Amino acid sequence: MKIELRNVTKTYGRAANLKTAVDSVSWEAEGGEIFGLLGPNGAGKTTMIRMMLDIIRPDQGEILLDGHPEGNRTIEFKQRIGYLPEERGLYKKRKVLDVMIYFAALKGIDRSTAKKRAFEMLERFELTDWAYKKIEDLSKGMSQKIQIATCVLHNPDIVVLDEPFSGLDPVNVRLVRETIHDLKGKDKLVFLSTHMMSEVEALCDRIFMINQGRQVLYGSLEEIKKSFTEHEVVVDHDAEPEGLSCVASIKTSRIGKCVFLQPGKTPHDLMAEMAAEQRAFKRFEEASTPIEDIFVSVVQKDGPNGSGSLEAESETSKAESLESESAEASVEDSLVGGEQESK
Amino acid sequence: MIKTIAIYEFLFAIKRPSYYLLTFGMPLIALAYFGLIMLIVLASVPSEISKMSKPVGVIDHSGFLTSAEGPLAGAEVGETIEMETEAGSELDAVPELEQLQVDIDQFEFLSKRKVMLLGDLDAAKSALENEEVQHVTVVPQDYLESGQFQVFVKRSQLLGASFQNRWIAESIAKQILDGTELDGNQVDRIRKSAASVEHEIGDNGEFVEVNRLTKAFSLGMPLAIAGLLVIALMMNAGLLLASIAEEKENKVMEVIVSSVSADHLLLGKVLGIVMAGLLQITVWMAMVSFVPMLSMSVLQETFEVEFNVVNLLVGGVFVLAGFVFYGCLLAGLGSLGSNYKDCQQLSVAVILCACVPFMVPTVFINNSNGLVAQVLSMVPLFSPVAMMGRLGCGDVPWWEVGLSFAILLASIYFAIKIAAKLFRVGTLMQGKRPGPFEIWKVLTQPS
Repeated sequence: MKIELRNVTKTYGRAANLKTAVDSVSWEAEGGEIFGLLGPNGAGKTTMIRMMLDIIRPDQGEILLDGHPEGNRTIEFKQRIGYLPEERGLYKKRKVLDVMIYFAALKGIDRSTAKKRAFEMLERFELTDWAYKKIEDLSKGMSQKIQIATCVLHNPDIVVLDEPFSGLDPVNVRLVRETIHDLKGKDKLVFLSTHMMSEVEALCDRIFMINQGRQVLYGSLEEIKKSFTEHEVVVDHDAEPEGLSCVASIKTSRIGKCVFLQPGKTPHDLMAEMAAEQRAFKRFEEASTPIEDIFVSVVQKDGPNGSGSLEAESETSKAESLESESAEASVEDSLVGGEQESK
Repeated sequence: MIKTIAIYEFLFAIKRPSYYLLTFGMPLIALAYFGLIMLIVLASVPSEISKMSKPVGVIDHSGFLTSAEGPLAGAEVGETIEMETEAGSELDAVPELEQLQVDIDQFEFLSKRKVMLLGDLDAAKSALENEEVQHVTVVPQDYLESGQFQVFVKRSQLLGASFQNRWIAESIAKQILDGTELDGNQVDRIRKSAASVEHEIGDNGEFVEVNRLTKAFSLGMPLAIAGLLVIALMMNAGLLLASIAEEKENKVMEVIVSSVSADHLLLGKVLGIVMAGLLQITVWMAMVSFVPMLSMSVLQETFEVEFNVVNLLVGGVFVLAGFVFYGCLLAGLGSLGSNYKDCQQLSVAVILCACVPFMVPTVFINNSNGLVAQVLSMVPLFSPVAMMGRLGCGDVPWWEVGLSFAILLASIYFAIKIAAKLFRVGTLMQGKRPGPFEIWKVLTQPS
């Protein structure tokens, strides 16, 4: 299943109060991938998701499902999606099993099948004992798991998860992460909207980032990270890369020496040169900018008067944005985290 | 999908404790209420009968009553005389009501009048203080000139005793007229107002005598059914709004509208609540069925009242369609509120519309085929109740019934569409109402 947004725009209010929630965004995603929908609060993510799911309609542009315009307006499509909205809840006064069966029934699943699957999901999320309890008796984390279980109970082809990890402890975060991986393994299309960048790094294949309604990043996670990486290699403090022909500049920080390579040179070239020159080093690591830093730098740069998509921007401007103190600090912190994890 | 939602809503509605309380408690409360009133009335009946059974004191200074031709001829002062009341002399009611004469000893005062002749006001005072008489009427010597009686009571009451003295005036008039050369019929025609027997052109084109009770009940029954609609609407509007508010407050609406179309969701909800409402009305009617059954049998045996069953059935269909129509409007408007209280405020307008025909019953009674009645029965906001009123009041051309129903059905269709759009914009607004521009934008957006 493939879904595509083409130049989709949505506005609210009018005249002086006119607010463009989503401004001519375009992207596509298809089954078998985890597609990250990123952006700061109020950026337009939820509006975009609601338009995709035909909860609200765009003012301009079109949404195609497997190439068919307005394919998302059919009941068949609605039955093939699982949606966990950010603003969510469950019928507090009703029993867990009843609620799960009702939501499955809305997706066209008969009662007996829904009941069987509900128990399977409850078992997976270790909540079987709570099947006949009222939702209001559940803790926030339990309720969260029930919502995720309900969202995938009917075996949907498209799953939209808006902040699925909020309120979960690390054990349950892992459980949900595994569930998302399983969905991908079954060739489902999973949309993941979250502010937990570590989960984005761990799960997403591709991302789309929106800020103030405008598209600012779109593409493969790896490619985006690479395009935002200004220094190529990190070595330990005792290493001696200075003076080598591959090296353009070196910046020393808390985590080690960040080596910026000459244009056209690769980390492999540097390692070969260091070996040839018998330069000592204990650690040699290809650098990669964490997505969190990219997120922060993009949002800060785009700001209230930002200029839009970074895809079209020059490498120079990207480097300039990363020269800022805050970006540097957060790069350092993230790398520290990476180092600790590797140990 | 509509069926799934309707069944779910129905089951959820009837599982609520408040539903049980309302469904089973309401008739019991109503019965208890009317039972209490009956008890109070019955408790006061013996004292009222005792009071009404006491004689009326009369002081006759004019000499008309005690003359040889008078009703108290030969009576001694202090003596009580029993007189037969003259049929039709005091009751100016519908003739059919005369069938309600009850032949029970306690109600003897209805057919026999007791009169105590008194000599002077001292005796009157004494009789009043001893509660021997209801009141004392003094016929003055100059009655022919003044035309006035003096009435003396122990305590003045809101309803004065003057209405009970017509027999004295009539008796004096009879004596005067008997002194002329007029015959008995002529005297009666002067004394009594003429009774009218009304006729109308019947179904077969010939004049038939008008049965006013039948007419009254043929209007009353449809209006009673329409009244049930409004009551059920008011009771179940709460359920419908609570259902919408619950989803908004629990934030599940977004998931639901991503699963089903707003039209289906709305219609499913309305149908579920309508089913719950109809079940509730059925239970009510079953629980208090002996009251209408009893009254129907009394009415039909005593007055030969005829009910137009076809009209009642047609009216029932209007009521059902009206229930769905009002339900859609309630759901649409209710979804614009951010919580249950907001939803309730917005829904008052719909319930008021349903009540409008009840506020102008004379429109249907005076001229059920008049312009106002016709317009009311064609406007879908009023037609479910208005058409019931018209059907009860007279012959409505069938093409008008058909047209009104077609308009109502079309209105239901558009109400669902519009309400679904309002639903779409309203349900996703968390904590605030959509503005007029947002509503207009959604309403004018193609489906």
